[in-house]
Amino acid sequence: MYIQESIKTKYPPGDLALWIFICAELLVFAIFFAAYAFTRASNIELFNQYQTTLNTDLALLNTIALLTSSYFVVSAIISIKENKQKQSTRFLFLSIIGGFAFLIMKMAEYSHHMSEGINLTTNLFYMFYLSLTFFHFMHVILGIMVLIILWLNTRKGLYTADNHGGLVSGGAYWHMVDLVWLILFPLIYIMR
Amino acid sequence: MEKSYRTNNIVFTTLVLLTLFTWILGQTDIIGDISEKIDGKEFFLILLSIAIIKVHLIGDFFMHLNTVSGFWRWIITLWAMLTGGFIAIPFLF
Amino acid sequence: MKYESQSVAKLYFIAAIGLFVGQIVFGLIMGLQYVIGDFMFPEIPFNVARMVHTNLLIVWLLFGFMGAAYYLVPEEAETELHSPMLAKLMFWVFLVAGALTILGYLLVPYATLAEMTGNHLLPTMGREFLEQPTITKIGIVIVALTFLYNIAFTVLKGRKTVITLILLLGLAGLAIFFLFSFYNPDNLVKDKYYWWFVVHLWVEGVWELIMASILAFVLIKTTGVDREIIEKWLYIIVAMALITGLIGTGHHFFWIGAPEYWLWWGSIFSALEPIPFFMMTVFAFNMVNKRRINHPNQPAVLWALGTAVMAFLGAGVWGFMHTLAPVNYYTHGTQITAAHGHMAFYGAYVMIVLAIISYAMPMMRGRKACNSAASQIVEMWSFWLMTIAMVFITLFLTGAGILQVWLQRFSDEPMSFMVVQDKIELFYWMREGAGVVFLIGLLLYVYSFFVGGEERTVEKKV
Repeated sequence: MYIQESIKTKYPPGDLALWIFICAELLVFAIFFAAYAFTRASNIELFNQYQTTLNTDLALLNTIALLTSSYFVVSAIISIKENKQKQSTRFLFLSIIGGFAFLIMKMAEYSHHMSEGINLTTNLFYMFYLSLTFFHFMHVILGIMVLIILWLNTRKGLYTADNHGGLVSGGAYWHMVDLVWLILFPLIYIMR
Repeated sequence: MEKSYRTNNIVFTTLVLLTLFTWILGQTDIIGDISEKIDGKEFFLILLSIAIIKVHLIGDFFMHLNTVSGFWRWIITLWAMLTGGFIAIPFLF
Repeated sequence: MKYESQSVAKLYFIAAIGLFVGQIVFGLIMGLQYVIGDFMFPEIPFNVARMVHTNLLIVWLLFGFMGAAYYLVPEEAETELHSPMLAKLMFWVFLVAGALTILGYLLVPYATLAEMTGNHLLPTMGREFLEQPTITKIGIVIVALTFLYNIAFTVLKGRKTVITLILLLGLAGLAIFFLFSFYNPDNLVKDKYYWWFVVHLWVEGVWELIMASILAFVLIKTTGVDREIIEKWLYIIVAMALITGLIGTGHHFFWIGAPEYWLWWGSIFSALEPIPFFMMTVFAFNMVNKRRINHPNQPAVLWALGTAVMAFLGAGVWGFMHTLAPVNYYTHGTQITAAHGHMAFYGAYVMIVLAIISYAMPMMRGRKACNSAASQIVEMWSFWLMTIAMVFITLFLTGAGILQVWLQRFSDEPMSFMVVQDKIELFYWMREGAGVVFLIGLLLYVYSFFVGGEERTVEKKV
């Protein structure tokens, strides 16, 4: 990513069709976030009250898990550019671990809520909290599947310094999952 | 290539630090009630700005948009700013 | 035409066009009944005309989809159809069952039809669009399964392409979701759920896959653009259509007694349903601009571009107009819905079937690539007449709908339904006029098959 710093391209690295898909996904989340913010404005007390029941510490760890996982994906791409397939494979494996760490922590949170009998119909705040995080959760699962495919492909040696478009595209999708959480974290856990 | 790893490390560290900062702002038991120190609106603006900066960093470095020029260079940052803007409206007014 | 067995599609296409004419005739009858209430009463009451109008639409589109599959699957798989005999047999079974059902609607009262066909044994009748007697529904399942078997085995023994894969996925979904029509719970809320699982998941889910794959096939053939590029587009369009379409089902759950969160889920996800249609428009125009050949069959290209644009307008824009819960609170079940329904069905499904018919029919009738110039001119006239007429039908119904919402639901002193219907009569008359133009366009379309003359030839783009 840094080798051709002087030559700028017109389109983002990776598959353009995938980038269009990423844009569409980001749009969905943007609408959901805006809906949350606007609904909160007319239910401030309710939202503030129930926001304090969320586990901010776990959310922090979750953010770091996703960031670390993304960091390893970037490292994997740098390695492949040096033709170090073995190293790249290891990095991808670590990024998958990061993804799973997120899933496990999030599931712990969900089971805590479930044990308290909270569901989509409990109140408007939980409706948004559960919808948004669960929709994101599904994206994490899809993203991990993408990472696993990339990992298997790298292990088979399908990517090289000259040919690793698939890795860059798949990586971009995983970063998108990260981006969404970076907005979601302050919005739902902190802002009140 | 050394440079690539170094940039990657710097960006990652910055992201983690910003995340920790966001988290601390939410810890009323550590820093006390935030509303006594700063106005609620400033608080929201700080949090949203941090989020936008983080998204920008990921777009630019992790998603390699710093190698792109023109419209696509800004696509992720633009998304963050628009989303942040829409969120800001009800929080600020 | 590369494979002998592709020609079974011809039967299906002819039946489709025949039933299409029938559908429009009943549409006109019903349109007139909006303003002259007792027109043709008691022979054809409004509820019967409506049932025939909508059921014929579904049946002829199914004929069209099956024909399209029988035509394009052998060509994509590069092999003969698994069993052309079975395809022909199923055609006649479906046609006879369809005809008997329609005759049943027209000749005996609906309740008598229900009794005659043993509806009490497994009650499935009486729900909008799924009015078919249980025995017809069983017939549809048998035809659909046999058809799927035939198509799947053709795909399995030959080349597997993204187009056939997505088409197969769409067709399988079509068959599976139809099974929900057999479950008829007493609980009205549940009843509505299962009804939408058929109706919505068809037209806003799996049918979109069928449409996208047929469109991709026609574009590959008429533009000569690389398969790889088209397949990539197909993937993201399908992914988007499924995400928004499946969860977007929620926009039907607003007022049926479902939990409140559906107001949000339904609004947000269905608001995004225009995206795949928009992508399809961009995709179609992109491919035609990048074309490497100037295909001599101009109407086929026109239909393909037309379907992309009109589907976006009808399904996308007109759907979005009333999909958000706060808007739908006022517009639910008004003529706005009818406006959306007309343009969406025409744009997304009627036009895609006409596109594949337009592309395939000349070859199945023994020509090399396309019809004569004279025939093409007639067909393009029919394209514009039908499309413009449909735009006006939609606009008039939208006008009627807006006025209806205003007078009946929004104003300070709301009027009753029938009083309002009187007040919007003018719109109904204009809609009927546009409908007549549509029928003329359709008759021209049929006529275009009988115009002879010299055939055009394929040109390479310079």
